[in-house]
Amino acid sequence: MQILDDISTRGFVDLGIYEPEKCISKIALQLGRYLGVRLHANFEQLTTNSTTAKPQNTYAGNYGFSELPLHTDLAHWYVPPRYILLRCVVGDPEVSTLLLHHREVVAQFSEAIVRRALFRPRRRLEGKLFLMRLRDNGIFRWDQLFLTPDNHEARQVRNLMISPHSSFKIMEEVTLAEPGRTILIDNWNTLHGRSLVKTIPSQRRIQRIYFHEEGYDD
Amino acid sequence: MTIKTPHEWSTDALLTKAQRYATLMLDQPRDNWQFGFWSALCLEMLVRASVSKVSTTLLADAKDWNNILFALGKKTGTKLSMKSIDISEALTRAESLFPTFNREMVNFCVLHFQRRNGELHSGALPFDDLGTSWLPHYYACCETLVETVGIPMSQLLGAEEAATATTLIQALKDDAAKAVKGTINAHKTIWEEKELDMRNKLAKQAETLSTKAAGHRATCPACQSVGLIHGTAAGLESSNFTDGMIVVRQPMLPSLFECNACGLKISGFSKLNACGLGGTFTSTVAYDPTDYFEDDFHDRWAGLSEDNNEP
Repeated sequence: MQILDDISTRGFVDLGIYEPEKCISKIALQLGRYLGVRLHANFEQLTTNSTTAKPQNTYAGNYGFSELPLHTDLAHWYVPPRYILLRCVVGDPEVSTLLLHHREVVAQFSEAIVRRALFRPRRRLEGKLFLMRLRDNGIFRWDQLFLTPDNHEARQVRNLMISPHSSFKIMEEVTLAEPGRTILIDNWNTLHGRSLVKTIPSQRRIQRIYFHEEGYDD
Repeated sequence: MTIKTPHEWSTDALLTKAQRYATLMLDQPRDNWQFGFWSALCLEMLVRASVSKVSTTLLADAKDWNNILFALGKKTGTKLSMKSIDISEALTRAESLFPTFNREMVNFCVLHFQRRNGELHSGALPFDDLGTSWLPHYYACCETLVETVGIPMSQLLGAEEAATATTLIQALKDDAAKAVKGTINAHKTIWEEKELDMRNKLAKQAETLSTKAAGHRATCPACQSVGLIHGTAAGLESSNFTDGMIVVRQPMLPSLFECNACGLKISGFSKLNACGLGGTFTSTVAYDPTDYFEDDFHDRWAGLSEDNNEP
């Protein structure tokens, strides 16, 4: 129940050092059954490298050791993954994962702007370009790199989002420092980012798994 | 299954496109031809979005089953470009699916799309010097269509223009009310000038002529005789078996009122609604089961000789 409460109010749940002896896949299956969602694919291992070490279609290839701006994952997908599970393998106590519920973002705008802001993916996806709303059908999306604003309202949103974090009063931070430290993020409601990585080269390794909502109908 | 892209015939995709066209429309001065041009493109997207809201398959051109497969979100064979129905067919379907999207609105859309066709397929300039007298009818259509897909006008047009649209739609209703009031009063005046005997005779004749078979009986607002309302199908019909007959009930939306006593004629839903004759009614028709299922019998036994036990 606490998991659902936290997801609903904070947009994420900090599971602490969660069953550290188990692998992320087993944890993910458990949580997936509990939440009624299915796994997207196997887990990915995220490391921190310089921008030259990764391709330009990735956040790593664009931001490297710098701050990762607040975003929702795969925001350029029409239906992004519902949840993200992040689990520490090798931590860095100086690096924080930042979390912001989208209600803090939409509170900065009129309902009209939120309803009318239109974005499109910066490049074709499956050969297509298409328009999407900032928030629609229960999904909030934001990505300053992968989404291009298509109208005046969207440009207003972008201008706010690329301004300093101090615009948002409530932001939470979790430090994935210990092996097994796990957080589950509601990717349809909560933005996340990462603070600057000061220790270079970085040994930090985080595992990530996505979950998809069952039976989402477009 | 992951959904990375929306279906191009989905309500969401069509609505975002409609909004884009609406923005382009409103960026133009009202007396510029492009204002009308983009308005027509926006309206087409709204019509298609409303039909798609029921099902994307309703937008598929059923002449080729690959189009239906595409509408269902399945991969098709070698066909590169999927075909959707013409806008005229989309209008017919929208009128059938949504009773509030009445014949008057469909007629306006037909006219507006003809202008669009003229602009795109000829050297004519149908949107030049058009003025904006069409705008209240246009917004009335838009308002009805966005209601079918569950979004407010402000999402399509922005808050300011949505407020303008509301004013224009109300003014249209007021104009219809004024026009019909004038017509009714004129007929009433002429009726009251007739001799009482003549009025009684005409009223009796009107009652005889206004049978249920000919239309829906209603009281004439000018002379209080029995007149007839004719309408168009609005919504799904229902049928049941009663007393040996198939009884089919079809909801109807009024489109014309005629009085055989004083000669009053009121055409168009907005005017009928303005004088209290706009309520939906039900057309009830009883069929002999043989007649009702005639086609099925023909399909089943057609072309066969009499049954026999010849091996």
